[in-house]
Amino acid sequence: MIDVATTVLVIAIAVVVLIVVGIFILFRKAWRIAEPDEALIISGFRSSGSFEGPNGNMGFRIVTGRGAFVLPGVTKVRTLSLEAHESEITVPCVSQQKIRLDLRGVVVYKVGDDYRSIANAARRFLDRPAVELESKVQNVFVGHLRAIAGSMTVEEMISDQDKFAQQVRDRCSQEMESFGLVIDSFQIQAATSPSNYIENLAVPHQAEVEQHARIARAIADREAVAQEQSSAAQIAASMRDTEIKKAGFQAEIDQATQFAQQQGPLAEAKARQAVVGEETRVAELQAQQKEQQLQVDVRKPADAEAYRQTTLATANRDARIRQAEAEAQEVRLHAEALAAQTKVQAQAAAAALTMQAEAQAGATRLTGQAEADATRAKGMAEADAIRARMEAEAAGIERRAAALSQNQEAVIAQQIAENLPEIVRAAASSFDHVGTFTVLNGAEGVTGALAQVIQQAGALAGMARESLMPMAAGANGRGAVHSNGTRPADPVKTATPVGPDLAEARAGRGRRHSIEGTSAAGQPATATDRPAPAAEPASDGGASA
Amino acid sequence: MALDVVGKLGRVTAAITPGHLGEVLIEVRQGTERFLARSSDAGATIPQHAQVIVVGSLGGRTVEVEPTDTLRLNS
Repeated sequence: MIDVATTVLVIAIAVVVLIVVGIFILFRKAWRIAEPDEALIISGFRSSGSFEGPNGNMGFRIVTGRGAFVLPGVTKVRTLSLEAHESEITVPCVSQQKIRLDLRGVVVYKVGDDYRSIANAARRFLDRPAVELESKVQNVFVGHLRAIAGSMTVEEMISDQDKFAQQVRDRCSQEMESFGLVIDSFQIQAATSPSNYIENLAVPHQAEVEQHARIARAIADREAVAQEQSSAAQIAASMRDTEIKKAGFQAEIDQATQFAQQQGPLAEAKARQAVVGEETRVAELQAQQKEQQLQVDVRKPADAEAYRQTTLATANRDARIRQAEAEAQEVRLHAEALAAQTKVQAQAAAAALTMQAEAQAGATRLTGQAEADATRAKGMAEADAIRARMEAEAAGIERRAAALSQNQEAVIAQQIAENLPEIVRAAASSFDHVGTFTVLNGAEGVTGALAQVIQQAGALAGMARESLMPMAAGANGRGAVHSNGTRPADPVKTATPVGPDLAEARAGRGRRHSIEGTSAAGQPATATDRPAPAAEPASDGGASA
Repeated sequence: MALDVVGKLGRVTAAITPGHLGEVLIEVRQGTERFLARSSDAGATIPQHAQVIVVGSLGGRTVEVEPTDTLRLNS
């Protein structure tokens, strides 16, 4: 029995446990808890009166953030996500400046946290997929974005966030409110312009920035280069200084080395110099010794010898001088004696000659006188003959002058005829300077040339005649003045040159004779009229002899 | 819902100008929510970051606000 009782108890406990478990399971099934990001929309049994708004019952229950007891089968529970959704909107639009733009915006929205928004959203989107919500939002925003873009400039869209947000608020808030959505964020992500408007907007600034960058880079480069160059110059300068110092030290080292190297030879040279000096002194002393020796050995004996020879020579010379004087004396005396003898002889010869010459002079004088007489007689006879001939010529000339007065032309022609050879020579003198006389016409040319010469001579003759004409006329006139007795005087005058010529000739002959006499003065025998000069040379000759 | 925020303090996140709605940030259930806002004085301009007090609801998510400094002056 006990066993039965215990069995029943165990069964009862088990049933109770099962019932408890079942109740728990049921409770678990009926108790729904809302997640923080979702709202429970409970509709059905006893769900209408839970929320009383000012505008009446909404007909379902909204539970957020806590649990709610749901009777399965009686009430229905759905969840509405309160998460944020993101939707991307790409819309081609035109800005206020009528510039075509492609705008890409992002809108972040969520269902509002208040019951009204949740209710609105629940009525519209509950149990719809998120994609549908997104597409709805997109469609709304495309239109609004286009309208907003049309009321703004590109620059404002890019930079003026406040104005954009203001526009979004003004236009979209009503639709969003009716959807129960709250816009968390609405941004334009990108604005691209097919006409490169936006890029071009940036170009000036970009260029300016680029310019500044380039300027800055150039300045930096320049400064860097300047610094580099100056540092290089400093390096070079310091290197130069180092090299100079090195060279200076090297020079000092070299100098010292050279000095040190020279010290050995120098010392040696000095030592040698000292040795040579000593040697020189020794040599000098030796030379002195030798000189002294020479003095003793050679000079003194030489002096003695010289003195001896000098003395001997002096004695010898004196002896010779005496001898010469004696000889001179002797010669002079001898010469005097000879001169006296010669003088006596010469006087005797002179006396003989004088006497002989006197005799010859007497003879010659007589002969000369005779000759003079003869010559005078002959000269007288010749003078007479000449006078007679002159008178005859004078008469001829007088007669010719008389004839000339009557026929002048004849006289001139005669004179010309007389002087024709000279005239012709004068004419021909112009050809003297002609080396070669080339005649171009041959024989005819020669004939012509000769004819010309002769003609020229004829012309000269004519000229001469013309020049003689006045003279002849003058002579004629004078002749006419002295026509009576004085006419013979002219021929005499013209003839007078003949007289002196003859006299001169005669005198020249005589003079020549006398010159012959003087030139032959050395021969007394030919000297006829001058005996004295003949005697003088004789005495001279005697003296010189 | 908008009635819940009446009497609460908020901060202007977008300036309220005449003829345009602004935006205020109001604490709701330990969080913050943004509401569209209009000035109770129609010609007034409330700058950004000004503290406002919600004086009324215009239905939906739009509230009527008043700057707190003018309120202080009035009281």
